[in-house]
Amino acid sequence: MTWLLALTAGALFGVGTWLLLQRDAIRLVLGLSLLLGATNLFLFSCSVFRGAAAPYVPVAGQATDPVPQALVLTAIVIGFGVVAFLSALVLTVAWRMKTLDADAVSRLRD
Amino acid sequence: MERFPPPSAGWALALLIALPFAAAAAGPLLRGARLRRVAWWPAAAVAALCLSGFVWLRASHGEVRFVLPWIPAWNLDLRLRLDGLAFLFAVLVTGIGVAIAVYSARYLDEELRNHRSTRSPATFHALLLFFLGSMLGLICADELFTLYAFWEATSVSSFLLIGLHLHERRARAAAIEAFAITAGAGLLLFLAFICIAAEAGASALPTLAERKVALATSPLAPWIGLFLVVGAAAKSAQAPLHFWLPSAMVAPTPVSAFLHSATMVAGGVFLLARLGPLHDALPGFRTLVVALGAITMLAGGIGATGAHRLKAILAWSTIAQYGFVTLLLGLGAWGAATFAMAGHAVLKAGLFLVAGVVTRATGETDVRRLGALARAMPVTAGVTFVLALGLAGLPPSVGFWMKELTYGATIDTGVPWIATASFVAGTLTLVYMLRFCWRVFVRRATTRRPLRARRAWLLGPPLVLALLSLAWGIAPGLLASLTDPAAASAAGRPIETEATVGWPPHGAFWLGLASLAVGAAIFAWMERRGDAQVAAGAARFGAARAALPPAVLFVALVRAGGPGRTFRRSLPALDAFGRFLARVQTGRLVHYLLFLAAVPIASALWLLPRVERWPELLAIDRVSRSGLALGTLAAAAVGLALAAAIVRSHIASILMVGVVGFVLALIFALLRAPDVALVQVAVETVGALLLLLVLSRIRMTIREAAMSPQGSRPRAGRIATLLAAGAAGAMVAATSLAVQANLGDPALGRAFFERSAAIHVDAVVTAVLVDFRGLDTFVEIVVFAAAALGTALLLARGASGRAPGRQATRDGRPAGGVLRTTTRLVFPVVLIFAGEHIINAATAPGEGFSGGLLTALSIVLLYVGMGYAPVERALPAFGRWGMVAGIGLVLATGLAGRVFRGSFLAHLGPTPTIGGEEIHLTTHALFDLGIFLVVSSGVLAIFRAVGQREELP
Repeated sequence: MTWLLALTAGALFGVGTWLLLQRDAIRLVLGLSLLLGATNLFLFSCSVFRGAAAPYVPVAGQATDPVPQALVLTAIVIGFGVVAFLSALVLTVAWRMKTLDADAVSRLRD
Repeated sequence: MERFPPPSAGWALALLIALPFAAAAAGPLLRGARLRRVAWWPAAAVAALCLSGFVWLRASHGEVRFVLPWIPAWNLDLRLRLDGLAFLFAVLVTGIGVAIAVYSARYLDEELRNHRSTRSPATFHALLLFFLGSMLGLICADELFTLYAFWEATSVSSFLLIGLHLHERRARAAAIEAFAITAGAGLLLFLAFICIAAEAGASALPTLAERKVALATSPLAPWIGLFLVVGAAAKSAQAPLHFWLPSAMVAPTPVSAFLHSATMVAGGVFLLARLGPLHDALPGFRTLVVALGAITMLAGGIGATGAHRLKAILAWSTIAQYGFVTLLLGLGAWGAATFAMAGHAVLKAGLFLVAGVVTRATGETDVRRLGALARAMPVTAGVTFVLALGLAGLPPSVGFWMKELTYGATIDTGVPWIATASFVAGTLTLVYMLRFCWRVFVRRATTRRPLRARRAWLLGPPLVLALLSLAWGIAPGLLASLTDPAAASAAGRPIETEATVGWPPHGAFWLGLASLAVGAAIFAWMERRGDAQVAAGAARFGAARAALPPAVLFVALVRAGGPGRTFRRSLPALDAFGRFLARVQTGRLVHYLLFLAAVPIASALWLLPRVERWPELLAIDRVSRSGLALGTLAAAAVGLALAAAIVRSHIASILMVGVVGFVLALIFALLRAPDVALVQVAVETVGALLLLLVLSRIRMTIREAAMSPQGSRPRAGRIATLLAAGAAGAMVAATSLAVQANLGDPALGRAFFERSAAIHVDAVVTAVLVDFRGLDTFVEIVVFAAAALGTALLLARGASGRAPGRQATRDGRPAGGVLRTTTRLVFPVVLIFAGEHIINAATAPGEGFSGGLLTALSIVLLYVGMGYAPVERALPAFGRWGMVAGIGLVLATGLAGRVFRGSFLAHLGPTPTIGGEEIHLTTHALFDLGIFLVVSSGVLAIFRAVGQREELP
């Protein structure tokens, strides 16, 4: 479990970073999305205790750590907001500069 | 929450200082041509109001104090005090401020026209008021850091006012020079203040006076003294930091009269007076100040004698006169120093104003080309003579008493060279003041210039100031009654200034008489010889004197060579250095991202070897069922991610990443996190749909161009990318392993279960989000709303910059009947689930977040199935207002908690007993509802923004 989570998070993060560094703007957005997912998985791996049940009061004895779950929940929602904003930026760039190439866009002028 | 303290004199003081700031903030609201014309009278009214306010406060309450606790742990409060010194300066600043505001009423329009400036008078007066407020704050500050804050505010407002004519290079350069010197020295001053506060353990001035000994015995004391002097010297334009003042004369005349003669440059000497009790505590301080004053007054005198432009003469004169004041402060002659400060402020402001009148009337600023104006401008000539000769020390002006007191103090020291230096400086004062008034008004003109009509209005303020100087000259006791309490505050003991000549007249009187005589003689000699010969003679004399090392210092100081030239030469070097540093900004996103990635990777490389424990190596001797399931899912996720990275088609990549998200949701479910899994599923669905929608709004040609092979990147770039990705992934994996081997205390997580049970909420995660860490959640929904709003605003302009309103009329091929019917059937089911999530938030998986996301998802499904336009027509638009309502609801619950329970976001509500069971109705539900509103409206706002624009595929 320890190694599984760590390696999966690392692998997803690596793929996400690679996509983030590509020229194609759409792949950039996808890379960011993967990055966010990998980070959430990483946060989960930081749970202090893991149990056989979800964190609800009746099964408090065997429950898992609720703290990373709360953090990840908010992180997912904000991550969506960020991806939405980034895709709006990509859309604007595509309209104004008529290109999706990140290497070709280096000035803020139209 | 503490109730507001009852109104008191202290609050009145604070209000008086806040008033100019508030008026300045309202300045830009004065738009429109008609309002421009009357822009001046609010400024004058505010200044007059402050003046009367200060007088009333002083008369009714004596000494007024104001304390606002700020950082109790450091003994740092915001303190204000209206004592004698503050009152003197407050009266001067506000009084002269009224005069300046009245003057600029008529002066400014033509000035702006002459310089073809686009600034409005309202901006000018707003800046003037901002400066007034900062200056008042500076003089009333009773604590080191309050003082420093206002000190820098005056530097900033000076910068803004000098550079009023933004489009002129000279103005910008002068403003930057002034700011660089005063603010740069201000940083040293800040350092000195920090040292003082650290050594003495307090930063309030009254406390500091008591703790002098701690300061005196500290090893930092000489440095503190040095930095204080440097900071004060830069502000008051003392040598060698004096060169910014003559350059600052490019500012409009009212600015020069207000800031750079009477008030802002007085800040430095004011600081020295304010810190009077500390003077003996710092070793070498007095000597340094005396030397500074002596050098400056001589350098200023020489500079003024050699200057040709009216305002330049006055600028150098200001430098010299403040040299006098600095000298007096260093000698400990408090009464004479405050008397000189007040007298000089009034005289110099008046002189600048008449210089403005002369320049406005003749269009000429050079003294060599002016002359014989007395017949055409008699009143102006009279006023100028009164002011100029008054400054030089002729009775019956206040300047006479200034000189008397100065000479008296220098003679009393018993050190001959100090008295000699002040004698020379005093002589020079008469020389250049005569040059100023005689040349302009009496001497025959060398060129005939037509005289333009000038306004009597402009003469009003300088006339008043001249009459005031005469009144003070005839009855010096009037001014002494103002300056003596000021001197007493600075000295820490009562001071009484005797402005009398005495009979037989004491040494100071004879010295003054002698300096006047010598000065008149020198001036007559200069006039006889004429300008060119005097210049040639001075050059020869200067060349001869250059052989003497001490004289070199003077020549270097005076001719704005030396420090001034060094400063100006260093500016291009600074620019070049900045450009060199800016080479890091290549303009390519991939470089920036690589830099960004390098930092955490580097820090991980540094930190990870220091981890103490690592988990044991992977040992697969027993594979549990859940472990197998997790392993399969993890492999699927990684495989799909790699496939998404390799595949060419955009749509395929998007869908694959979406499925990766779903697999992650399954992983979360297996890890016993149902709420998170729900939210992840909803977000991934919505996210994939959003990306597909975005894709459909981009032209096919652009998309195809992007999908083509990426081989055009150089191989080094591709390798760097792979390496960075690999390193990043390895870093995350290693960090995760390190964390898992060094886990913390489980008590925090376990404690949440108990707390949750106490408030009767079964779902601990919901409780953590809404009840225990409500503030985090609140900030988080604000961030989400900001992102959604940003998306909506960004896309509101659209492709061709057209305003929004052009709805998508063509939705491409209409969706098939199956899709349409299915979405219409599914949408209410999803809504029901969303509702269930919210209702059962406390006991079952799901809360405001998942409810909101599912609601938005259901409407997005409608968009997909039925097209954009029909949905928009049918459903009410609740994008932005929904978010506002949601945030407002959460704020209201939070404030209700603050008011009734004492802390923000504490939940409250009745618990009635129905049917034998306790029902807990708390504001927890309202918070959840707020979250629901924000999330659903945000997602819909995003979709509306992306979907509304029509773009040809």
